[in-house]
Amino acid sequence: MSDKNFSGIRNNGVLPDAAGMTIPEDIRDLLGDYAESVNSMLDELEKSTLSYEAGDRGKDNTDSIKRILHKIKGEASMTGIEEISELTHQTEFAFDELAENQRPDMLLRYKDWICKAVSGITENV
Amino acid sequence: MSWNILIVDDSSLTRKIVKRVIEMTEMDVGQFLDAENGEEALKVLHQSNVDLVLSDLNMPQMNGVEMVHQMKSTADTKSIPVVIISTESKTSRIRELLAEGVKDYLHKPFTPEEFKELIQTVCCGTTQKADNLSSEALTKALETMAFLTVIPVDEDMVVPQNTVRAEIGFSGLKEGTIEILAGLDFCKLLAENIGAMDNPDEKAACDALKELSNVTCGLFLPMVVTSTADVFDVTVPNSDRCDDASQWKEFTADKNACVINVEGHAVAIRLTIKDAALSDAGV
Repeated sequence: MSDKNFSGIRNNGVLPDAAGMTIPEDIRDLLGDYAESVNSMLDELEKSTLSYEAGDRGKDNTDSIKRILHKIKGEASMTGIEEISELTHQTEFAFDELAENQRPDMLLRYKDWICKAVSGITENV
Repeated sequence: MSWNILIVDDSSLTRKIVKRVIEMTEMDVGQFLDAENGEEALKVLHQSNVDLVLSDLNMPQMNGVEMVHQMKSTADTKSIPVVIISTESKTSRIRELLAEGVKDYLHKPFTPEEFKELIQTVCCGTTQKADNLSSEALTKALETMAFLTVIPVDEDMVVPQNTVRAEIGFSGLKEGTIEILAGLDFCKLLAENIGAMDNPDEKAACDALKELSNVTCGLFLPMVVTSTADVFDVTVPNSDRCDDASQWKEFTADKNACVINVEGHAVAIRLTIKDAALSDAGV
């Protein structure tokens, strides 16, 4: 587990720098696939979040958001990218804890952080 | 035997990584098959010979639990072992899955060693594994804790007449007991080595065996459970003496018991392990 503190995602607090993550050596050849997969999921997350913000807070859209977060966590966990896994874990909890009207901002902030982190990863490969 | 393995996960990247980890174990794999969700997996299962299914839980269209239900209700697929690979960490959920018929559970991420360990449990059965583990754990405990040397079993070793039996139990996702049976003379030798005692009495000898069963339990638990956090409770070891030589024969006749030779003394160990969830479900 990452020793960085990601609890700021819950209360709009400070998050660690998205650059300079530790990438396990043995999955470097898969980072292109990883970035493509995460970016596609982030696009889906953004669409669902904007719908949620616009009032679509039904079960289907809520489940879709949770499923995307869970999948991002699973892939980060399997590739050994601990920071993304940990932030996503905190985000899943925050989503359940926060009031409905606070969730979209938190998710968009999460999405921006992951975007930066992923572009940092791909630039360094 | 080579294994045909079906990997079920809606992430193609995860399927790729799982495959890579399995390849790192040097396990003899005949064919890797994959599916994006439970529905697709069921189709693959009906078209191909699959020996093992590794599946995620949360997938669109048909999740892992529904897939297991369907597999268990179909004659052709009900005996194929399913191992769930997920980031799910709630023990209550894992117990439910085991009760549903899932063979085992592996937490993401996992190492090749963890996978290999799991495959031995799933494919070779618990009994055979318990024999190997018990011998391995006891040997390790004796050599590291009591500074005793384990040598090959032979006919010249002293089979005890007066025995001491120590037992410790644990419960959680897997339940079990570990029992060690040794001669009183051996237990005194143990007390001399562990406690640096001169002329230990019988109580000290029994306590030494209790201490050893405690250490042995700690050594083998990580080998038989996915995570030691899955063990909810470990009982304090107790011991009892027996002066009837028949106890040794009965104990070592058990298929789960194994005997090792410690500097000429025969010591027996028996592990009994079962899935708690299966037991709760009356299976």
